Amino acid sequence: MRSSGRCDLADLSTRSAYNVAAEGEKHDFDPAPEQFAIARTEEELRARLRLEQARGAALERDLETLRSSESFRIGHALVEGVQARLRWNVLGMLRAAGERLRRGRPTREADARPQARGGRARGGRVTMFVAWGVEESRLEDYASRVERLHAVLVEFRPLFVVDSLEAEPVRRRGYPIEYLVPLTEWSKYRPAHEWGPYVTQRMAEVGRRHQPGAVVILEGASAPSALDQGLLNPILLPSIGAGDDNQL
Amino acid sequence: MGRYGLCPMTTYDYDIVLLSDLRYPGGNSASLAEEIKAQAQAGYSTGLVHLRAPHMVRRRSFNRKIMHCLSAGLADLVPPDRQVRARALVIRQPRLFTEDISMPLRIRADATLLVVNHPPVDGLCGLEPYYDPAAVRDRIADLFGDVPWAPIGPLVREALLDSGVALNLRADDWVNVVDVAEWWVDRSRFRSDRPVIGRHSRAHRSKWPSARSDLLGAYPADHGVAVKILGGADPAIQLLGFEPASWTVYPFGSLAPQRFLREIDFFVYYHHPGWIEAFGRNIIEGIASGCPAILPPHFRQVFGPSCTYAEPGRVRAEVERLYGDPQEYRSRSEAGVSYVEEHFGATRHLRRIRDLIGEPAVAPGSYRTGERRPLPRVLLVSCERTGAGSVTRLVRLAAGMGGRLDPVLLGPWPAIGLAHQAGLLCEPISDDELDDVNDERLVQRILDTAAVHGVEAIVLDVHRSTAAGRLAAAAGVPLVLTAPQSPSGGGGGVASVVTVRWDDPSGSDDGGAALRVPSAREEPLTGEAARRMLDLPEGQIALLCPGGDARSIATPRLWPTAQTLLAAGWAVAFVEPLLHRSDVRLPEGVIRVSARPLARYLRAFDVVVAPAGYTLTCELVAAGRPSLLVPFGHEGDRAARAMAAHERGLALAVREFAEAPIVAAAERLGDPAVRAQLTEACAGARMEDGIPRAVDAVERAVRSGRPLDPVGI
Repeated sequence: MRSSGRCDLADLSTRSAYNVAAEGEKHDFDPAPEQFAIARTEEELRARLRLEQARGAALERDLETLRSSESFRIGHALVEGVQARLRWNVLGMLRAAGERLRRGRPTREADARPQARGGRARGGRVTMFVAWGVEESRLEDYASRVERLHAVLVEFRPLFVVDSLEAEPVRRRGYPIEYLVPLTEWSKYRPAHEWGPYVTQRMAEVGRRHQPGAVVILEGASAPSALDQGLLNPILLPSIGAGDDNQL
Repeated sequence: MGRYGLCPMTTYDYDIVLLSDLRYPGGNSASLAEEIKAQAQAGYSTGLVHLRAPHMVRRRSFNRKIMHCLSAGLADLVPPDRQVRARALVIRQPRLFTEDISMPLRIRADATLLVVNHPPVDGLCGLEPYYDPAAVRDRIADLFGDVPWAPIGPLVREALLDSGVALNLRADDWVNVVDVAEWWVDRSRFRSDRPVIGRHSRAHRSKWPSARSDLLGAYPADHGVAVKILGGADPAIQLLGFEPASWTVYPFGSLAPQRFLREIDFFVYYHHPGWIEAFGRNIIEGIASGCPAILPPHFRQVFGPSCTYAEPGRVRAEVERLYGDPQEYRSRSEAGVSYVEEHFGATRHLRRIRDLIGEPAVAPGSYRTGERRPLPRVLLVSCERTGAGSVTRLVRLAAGMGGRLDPVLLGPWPAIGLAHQAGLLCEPISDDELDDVNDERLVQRILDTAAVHGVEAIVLDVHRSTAAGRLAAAAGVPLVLTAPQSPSGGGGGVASVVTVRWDDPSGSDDGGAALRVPSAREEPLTGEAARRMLDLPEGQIALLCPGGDARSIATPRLWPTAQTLLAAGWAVAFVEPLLHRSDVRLPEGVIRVSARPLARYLRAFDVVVAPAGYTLTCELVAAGRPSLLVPFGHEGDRAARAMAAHERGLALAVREFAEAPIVAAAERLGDPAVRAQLTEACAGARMEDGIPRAVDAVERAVRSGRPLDPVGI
């Protein structure tokens, strides 16, 4: 079979990959094995491109669904709140830093944020996904959605906050996880009233360490809401995590 | 019938509604929190209504103690304009009503009272009183009718009587309460080689003596006595004109009061002569911690015989007298704690609530209160990147601490799941913290966890000398290192910390010396029972491959061996990973084992092909299982351990991971005579349970209190 003229990628889907000629030339083509391999590779890439385009469209739909969900709207409002505080509370932060220095507490360096492993080594701000009261099967679903989002919106770094040790769906994907003992678990070992200080200090640590720029609450069925339990208080108001002293 | 069966027509939203300004930073909110906790413990439901006090003009959040109560579900936050029906309404703080209330309060209650925690005037308020009792009385009457006033102590009662206003005063005081368990500290030793006096209060001139001689009398400036101050001391330093070298001043809020009280021997509190200390919550916290308190004589009517009362000039003599008589010191300490428990403990609050509205209608829920004398908390840390041996050891150590120490485990994912399954409080270390080559993040995580749990010692298992060194320098509490004896030598500890070494059964060269092995939490099952529970086939040689780490089933390196042995008619079992079921497709015929702890089921198997990890090797020797030790995972020590065990006749071993020698060795184990020989050798190895000794070491470290100037009584 003979062909002539330039062959661009778009043609590959409808024409035989065997019939590829050099630009500007017209001649009979008897494909050499390496040219055959190149053409096959191009064809495979084309197929992958189509697949990615289809995935992209699906992700756009997912993103739209997520944006219109209550969780996202709450999370978005939280982020706005955090950012507004960061903008307007600079003096307060300076005062807090001065206080820390006076107290001689160790400070954490800005670059102490964990470096990502493997696929997490990309830049971008940290988005904290709070999977509170989410059972493992649901977590699998959420982790998979976040993974797809991450593929599209590469400029963010997912961080999961979970209240279950059964977090393999997240660990398998290499995303960092912070675990907090849930109240029900805590109450088996310690007085319930100590859970508030615990969760406040832990979340303050998480906030300092990862410095999330956005928070998304992933709904779970098996625990009271993260908002009701004050989980995000130290993120919204960092000074809450600075101490839990009985002020006289 | 109503919810509480009191009145057929009445249903209640809450047993008790507490109405106050929930932003107060001090004792008002602390007292509210204590009452909420006590009520939750007894099964009373509580609603909290926030009403802004006019004098609290600064924008501020709710007090953190209140937030924590809400987070833990001990009370509900009720909007002030919501219609609420309660059995009792307790209003706290008369200054809420110094102005007319602008919003409608629609709280209806069978019983209402006003807790008066502030005198209307004192020597420092100037010409303007804090509130006008008559005006407050009238405003409250408009809202809730004739409400009894309950002063929090005799000093406030006196001030109210002095006001000359006709008030409906309750006969008894509504004293503040504390949870003694939250404050108690073991006082079996002094903190230092000299008495340590302490005080905790705001750095306000009202909180300090106004005369220099009184100040130096109560808080000496020489080195014979150490003085520690939490809350700042600017007014005192201003008065003296210098800061004495023997004083340690912690700024306000820089240290948790509980932590501070652990650093002092005596609580000494003297304030401005013009100030009426309505109650002195800081004082009962000090007494509850076991500190003998020395106070001005006017406090006698509040704190009765629980304290020593003296003029400032007598403080030092009293301190030195008690410091010189440890028995008397302990006796004073215990008497103070008992007095606080009886007069200012949760039971006191519950008695008065019962008097007001009767018993709670529902049974106490899942709310767990603190122990009367809480056990010292210790943090057990495993930072072994792979494998479950380290966590297993710590789980057993934790089990051995029952009734003596209160453990919390910090370990790698997923091995920490073992601790969770064993019913222990645990938290995982994330992968990036373990991967940090400098151990900075790991050490920070350990320190943060130690702080958040308020532990009194840290136990670190497994050799990470960098982490151990950093921890020893920064922990602020005793550090105990536990590590398996290394068959290849080395693995030394870090200077100045306690080291517990698990003896290695294979590595011991002193012939017949006691071998210490962490004991299993549960008794191992008999072979027959274990086989039945695991549903193993009869009449076949059963082989177990525990794998090399917590993801053991994903160790395909043993698959060819498994296939060969399956073909030879053996039953082959692989251990499932922790926490989740693997989706790895194993060679056909391989049995999955997910039962834990593994040691309990070892006797189900005729032969075990195992990595030569420390804990599993101990378990195999203890169970007398014929084993083939294959050094994979941590090649260094494991290879040495495998060879040492082989030399002592406790197990077969191969030097390297290669299929042919493994199959050949496994097939040797198919010979009943070889198995019998190995089992006999294992039976001859003396195995001593090392857990009690290790727990003793940790407890000693905790009791020593290092590095807190360990000078014992």
